[in-house]
Amino acid sequence: MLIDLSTPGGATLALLPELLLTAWALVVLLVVAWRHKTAHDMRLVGTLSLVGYALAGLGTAWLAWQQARPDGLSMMIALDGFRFASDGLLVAIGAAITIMSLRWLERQGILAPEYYVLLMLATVGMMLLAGAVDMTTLFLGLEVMSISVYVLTGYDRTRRASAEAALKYFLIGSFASGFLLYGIALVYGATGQFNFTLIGAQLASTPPTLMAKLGMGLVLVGFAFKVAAVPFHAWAPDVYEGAPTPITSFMASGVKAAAFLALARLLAEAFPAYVEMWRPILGGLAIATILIGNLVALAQTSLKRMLAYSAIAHAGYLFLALWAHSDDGTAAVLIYLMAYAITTVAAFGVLASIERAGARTVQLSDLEGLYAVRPFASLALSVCMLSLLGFPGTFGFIGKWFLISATLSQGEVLLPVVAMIGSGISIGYYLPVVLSMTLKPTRTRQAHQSIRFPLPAKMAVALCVIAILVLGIWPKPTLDFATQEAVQLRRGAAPIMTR
Amino acid sequence: MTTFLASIGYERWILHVLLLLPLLGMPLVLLFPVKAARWIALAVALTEFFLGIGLWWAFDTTNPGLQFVTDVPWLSGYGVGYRVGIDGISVLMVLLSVVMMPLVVWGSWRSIDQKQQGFYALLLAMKAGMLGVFISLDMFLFYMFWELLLIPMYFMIGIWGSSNRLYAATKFVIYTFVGSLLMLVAILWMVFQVGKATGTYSFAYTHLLEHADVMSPWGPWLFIAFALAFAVKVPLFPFHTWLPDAHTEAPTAGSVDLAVILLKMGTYGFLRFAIPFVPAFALSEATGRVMATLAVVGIVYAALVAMVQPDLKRLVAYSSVSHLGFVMLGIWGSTVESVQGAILVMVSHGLSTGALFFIIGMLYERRHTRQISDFGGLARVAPMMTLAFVITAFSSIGLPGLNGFVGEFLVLLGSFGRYPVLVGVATTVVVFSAAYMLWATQRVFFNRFTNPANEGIGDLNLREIAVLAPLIAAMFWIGLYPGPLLRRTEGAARRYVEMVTPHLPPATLPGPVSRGVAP
Amino acid sequence: MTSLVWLTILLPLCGAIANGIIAFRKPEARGPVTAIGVGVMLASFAIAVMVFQELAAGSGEAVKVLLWQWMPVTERLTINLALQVDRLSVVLLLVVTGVGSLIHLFSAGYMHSDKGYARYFAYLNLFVAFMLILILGASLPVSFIGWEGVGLCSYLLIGFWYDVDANADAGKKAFLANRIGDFGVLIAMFLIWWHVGTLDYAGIAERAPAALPYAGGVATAIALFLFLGCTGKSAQIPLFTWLPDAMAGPTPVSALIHAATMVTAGVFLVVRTGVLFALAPVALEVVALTGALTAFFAATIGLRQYDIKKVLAYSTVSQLGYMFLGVGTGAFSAGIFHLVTHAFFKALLFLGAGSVIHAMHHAQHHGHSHGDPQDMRNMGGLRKAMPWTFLLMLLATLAIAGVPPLSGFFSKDEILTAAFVRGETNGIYRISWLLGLAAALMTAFYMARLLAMTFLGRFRGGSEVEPHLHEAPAIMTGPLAVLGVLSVVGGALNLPSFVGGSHKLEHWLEPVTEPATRLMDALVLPHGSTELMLVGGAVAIALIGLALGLRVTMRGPIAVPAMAPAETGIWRLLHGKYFIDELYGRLFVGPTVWFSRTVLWKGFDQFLVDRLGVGGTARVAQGLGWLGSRLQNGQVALYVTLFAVGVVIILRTLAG
Repeated sequence: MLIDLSTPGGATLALLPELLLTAWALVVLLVVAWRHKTAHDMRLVGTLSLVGYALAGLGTAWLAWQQARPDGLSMMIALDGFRFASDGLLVAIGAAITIMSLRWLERQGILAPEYYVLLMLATVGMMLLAGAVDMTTLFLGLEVMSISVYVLTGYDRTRRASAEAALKYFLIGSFASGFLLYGIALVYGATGQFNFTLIGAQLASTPPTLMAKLGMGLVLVGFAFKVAAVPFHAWAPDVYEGAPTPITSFMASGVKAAAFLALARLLAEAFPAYVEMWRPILGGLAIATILIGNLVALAQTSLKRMLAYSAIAHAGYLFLALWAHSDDGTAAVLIYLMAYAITTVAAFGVLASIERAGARTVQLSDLEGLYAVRPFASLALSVCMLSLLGFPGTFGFIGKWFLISATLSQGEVLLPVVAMIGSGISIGYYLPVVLSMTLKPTRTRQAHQSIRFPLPAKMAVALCVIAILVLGIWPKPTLDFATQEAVQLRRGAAPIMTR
Repeated sequence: MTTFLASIGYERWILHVLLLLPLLGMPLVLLFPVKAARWIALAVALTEFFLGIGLWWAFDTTNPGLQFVTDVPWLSGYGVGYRVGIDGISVLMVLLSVVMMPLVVWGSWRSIDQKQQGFYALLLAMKAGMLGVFISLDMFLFYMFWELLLIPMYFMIGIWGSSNRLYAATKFVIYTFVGSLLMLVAILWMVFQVGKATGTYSFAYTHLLEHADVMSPWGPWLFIAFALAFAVKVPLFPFHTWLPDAHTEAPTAGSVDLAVILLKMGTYGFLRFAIPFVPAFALSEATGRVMATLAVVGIVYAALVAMVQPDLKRLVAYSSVSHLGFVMLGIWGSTVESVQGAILVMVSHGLSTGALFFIIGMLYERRHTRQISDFGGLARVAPMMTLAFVITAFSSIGLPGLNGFVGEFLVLLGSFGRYPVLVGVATTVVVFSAAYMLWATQRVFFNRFTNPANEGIGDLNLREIAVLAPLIAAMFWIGLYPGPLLRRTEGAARRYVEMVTPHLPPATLPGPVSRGVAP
Repeated sequence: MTSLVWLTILLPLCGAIANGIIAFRKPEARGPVTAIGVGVMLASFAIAVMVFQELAAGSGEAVKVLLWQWMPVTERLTINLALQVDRLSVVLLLVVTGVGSLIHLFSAGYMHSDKGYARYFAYLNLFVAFMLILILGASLPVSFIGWEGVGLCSYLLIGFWYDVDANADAGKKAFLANRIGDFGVLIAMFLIWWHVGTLDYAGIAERAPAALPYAGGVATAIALFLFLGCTGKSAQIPLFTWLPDAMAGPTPVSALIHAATMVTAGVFLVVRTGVLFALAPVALEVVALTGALTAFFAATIGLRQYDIKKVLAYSTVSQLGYMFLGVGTGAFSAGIFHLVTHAFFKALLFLGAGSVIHAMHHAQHHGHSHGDPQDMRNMGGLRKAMPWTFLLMLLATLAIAGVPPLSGFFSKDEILTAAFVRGETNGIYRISWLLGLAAALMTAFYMARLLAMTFLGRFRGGSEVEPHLHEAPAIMTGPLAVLGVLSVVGGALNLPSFVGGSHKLEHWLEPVTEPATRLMDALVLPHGSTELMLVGGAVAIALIGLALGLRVTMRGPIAVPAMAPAETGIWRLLHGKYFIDELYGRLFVGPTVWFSRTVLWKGFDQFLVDRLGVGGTARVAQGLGWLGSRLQNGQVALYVTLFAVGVVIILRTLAG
């Protein structure tokens, strides 16, 4: 169905998923107001919040099923397969993180149910960010997301690391937001437009101006920060390590996903005319991020920190997909993000189960002999490692395959080779995880006794792992969806209808 | 036999069954109680053997092309399909692996006393992977099997290996994984380029091979990308250092599979992919020289190093490097004789080295050491084992009348025309190989019986004889009557040589052809 | 019958398998072992005789027996497992099976008390089978099966008493030396195939003259590589050192393998591939000179050995040298002639030595003496105890020394004559001839010395041993007697004209040697005065040598090993075999092992590739990673700086 976004009704309809989630967040907030004492309350609120994701998901599904398309120019928020796919992914991530957090928070002695509300709001922000076709929506989404995540990062007040991380994240984050905002301003100055499509049309029709270029550059900087691309990555390891593990997982999967989805749309719709200018930047960022991310990951002993760097490295791979600037590329972005998100959530889920309140972060050596005690947990983590490594038979490999094909089909060979070198390095830190879990003997008799793997989390992880393996062998439906429905980003100036 | 097989539609289902059975066996092994594990594995292995052996007759020696071909869409729209089939080269490899299967299970019967379920499950997984590599005619499928094979081997070495297993396992995986990284890029690049040229983006081997000429501009890069992956696996000097560790630390079954099948995947890769895809570069004067030289250096080098190994298994591992060098030399010799020889060496190296590893494993079970210096004069207490070892040793050093000779002779004879000097150097190995093998034999089985700890070593028992007897029989058979084998490989070898001949630089020696002998 | 010639191979082979099984099942069953072991030999000898008769009846063309296709690779390379019965192979066939049977018989007595009786006969039968493949093979590859097979058996038999390290060492050494030779044979085969296009003897003889330019590089290379193989198998310079060590095996083995049959395979091969040598005159000179040098050189060592078998071993090396001198002059039939006669008298000598050692061993055992039963200084005066052995050894000695009319005289004389004739036009042959004469003198000398030290004078082995000495049983002396007769009358095979003979063997072999001799300028044997002069000289040299030998040995008392004075000067050099073994050890073996261990394994593999290459890369990556994580110092300021740098770079790229 066609939706006229200029009318309030149309806009409301178009924003249905976001609105549903926000509304539910407010409802939950009310509940929190009188139930925020006990662990039971935490659980209740958490479970309630899942309903919100369910609603949002349904809303997205409905829009998708209705083939909702903008009547004329899409304003503020996109109405296309890509957005529905993005929303679906982001909602799923939010729900997964909620499930992971359910028992975990109590165990860590974090008894403040607002956590779940913030998580929902952050998800709303991500959805807006990913769905934005307008600089204002973009920035709005970005900030909604960021602010909630800042808070969530510091949520574990009792731990200094957590607080420090939050502060750092906030400081540098606002710094970055400043750049982004300035960039938006410059672009507006150059084109007089906020809407991506109109910007695109404007830039296509006029010779490139320095102002527009600088604007685009600063916007890129803002995103590069959000996805923690080298050299804007420095905050990530500290923040990832400091934040409560589910939130780390949320940042690594959700925030990164939202940012990349938004960037994909932005570059495709607003800056297609400047492709030759932003490609080298993306390429440079990719190479730097892949190499440095992987190399530094090699030197880590803390599992969480290692995963942080691996997350950085993967941001590097994703730039390849954007670099391609093609339908394959867009599909690759979606597939890779799916693969990566599923894997990361599962990996952090296992990691979270190993952590103990007050103890230092999990070290690689803490995993030794895990298999003997927790075969399934360690197998799950092994599968995740292989998927991150991009090993055939896992969904991660499918992602890598699309990524590289997309770049190659642009006649580019250097970037894929670098990516391959990167994963060549990465086996140096993924394999040891598998090794110490499965091949090394347990240090002590009572090692791993304190592991708590709550049922919901277990289920979620199991689901993810199964998905990784099944989609590794039979990804066809996903691939079809990604390559056929979800890639209709408007490339270049679309017919502009104004009434 | 042939007609019977045809009547049951053998060629339609056999490859899939061979591939599936082990995979189905795995869950069974894991689900049933530990005691049953090895029996289930054995059952699967024997079934595979009896089903697979039919290939010997079902394979049409008159057809030089691919046979038993199946092409089922898998990820249709992305050019990926379940495409399998075999030709004269792969049929022997498949036969070799199905023949080895029961022996390997038998060989591990006693030696594996812990985590049996896992072990046999991995063993079956490995079998499936090996078969997959040799039968897949789809680059995507091939790459998947190629990599997946690492996992079972990794755990096999890492869990059931000996003292230094973790190091060896890690080294093995990292070498192979890193080696094959660029191969993926190369494959995707080919698919893209060929797709662009022909309009069909497909991973189908035949399709890519058909339009391989599209790739000539990138010949060097493609070849290097493929060659790296395969050279590590062969292993070609100087990429060989992972092998001694892997071989030495792996349990008997692992070493045997490694020697008999895994190494052959490398040489097979060269014959099947690396060279046919970019023959012009792969066989150019320069490349040929380099590869042949590396092969020959490996032959002599490994023999010399083997001579000074204090550890029996390590010695045999190095001898493998030496033998695989012959295969590489034969491949680049690029005459029907040399290629035939190369394929034959692939088979006979499997038999002799497999048998050697079995015997060493039996010694290890008895004495829990592989140090040559711990033995001596065993012939007194274990005459049968001595006999078996001596026969195997001589087959491995290429005594005419045993399997080792035929292949190596053909390789050297066939390659002589192109690389007279290199072949000359390679031939010196007849001395060195004899040196390391006989020296080892002497220090283990002959000489004075010094170490009282060896008193307890019993002679071969029935199970062990059952493991070795078929291998030794095969050694004599191939040594004296290799005709049937050669007939099966001839078509493929001929076809291969015909395919590459246009790209060959003129040989150093004009060859018998010019002397009025039928070409 | 000729078509069944493969039976002569199959029978010993089955014997080997049967005895092998017995060796495992019930090794103490001596009766069946003897029956099988000796039986198969006699049977194949019978067949050999029949084959011979059939061939003799014919006009001398070769008969090919195709067993099966061995390597059907391509049209241009199809190697058949085929046998070739012609006048050459049949002679060898008779010698091998005949002498072989005798030695098997002898062994039954000699080895009777040995634990490994069955195993011994299994090996011995196997050897015969391989030896027959070698001589009957119709193409180089088929012969090569036998060629390496006999090497294997010699390895097994030398190391028969494997629990003595020295024996195992000797076996290994023998096989390695042979393998060095085999390297040559292989290369030769490759060259032949690529240049001549076939590996069949018949095909080579037919095509080679057309395919290879006379005296060309290729032909020479082929011939020399083949000859390298011969030096390995037939213990010529530089690869002769293994043969003396090979004496570690049971004495009958030395007689069969290391005197009568295997070691002569080299000579056989040269004759077989005569055409190739004929095409390469330089190679022929090399063969002749090497032969002559070896003959001389080994003889000198033989002068100063005390171990009765060692003397015979060096004598064998020396005699083989003669054979090569013979074929090197192009007198192929002369070489084969000497091969045959040598097979007779040298087998006899070894078996005689065997029965001496047998007796000594036995006596020392009963006399509780721990002397070395092979050291001639412990012997002396044995003629009283073992008259038969003495008599037969005496005959053999006269034969090898070249005293007419015994067999050795004729064969050796022919070779020397041939060398003399070639020498008139070619300096190299002249030198070879002189060396040959000198060797002849020394041969007579050391043989006389051996005889004297062993049988003459008085027994030095101790009074408690002497009474236990006595003649060997009939099963051992029987074969000796037969060989004795052969050594005496063997010359009749090829009587020269000056004694009214007609060079029977020479004519017999003509069909085989003709293609080769056609290519060389004919060898016109001298007549009249020159001939008589040569003959006379030869006889004189033999007699002088013998006389000197006896004289020098009998002059003074001989000290038993214990009190023997240390060798000095030239004697030390000779007794130490010119220290060739030590030289090789220092020059080749040691360095190779050191190089392999230190440079290649520890140096290249473990240090360069693993430590520096792989480990290095890993460590570098780790290091970079470590550096990267150093930047991660938690200071926001630094992070912002990085950030700023990034911004600047990006904006520069865009603005620029």
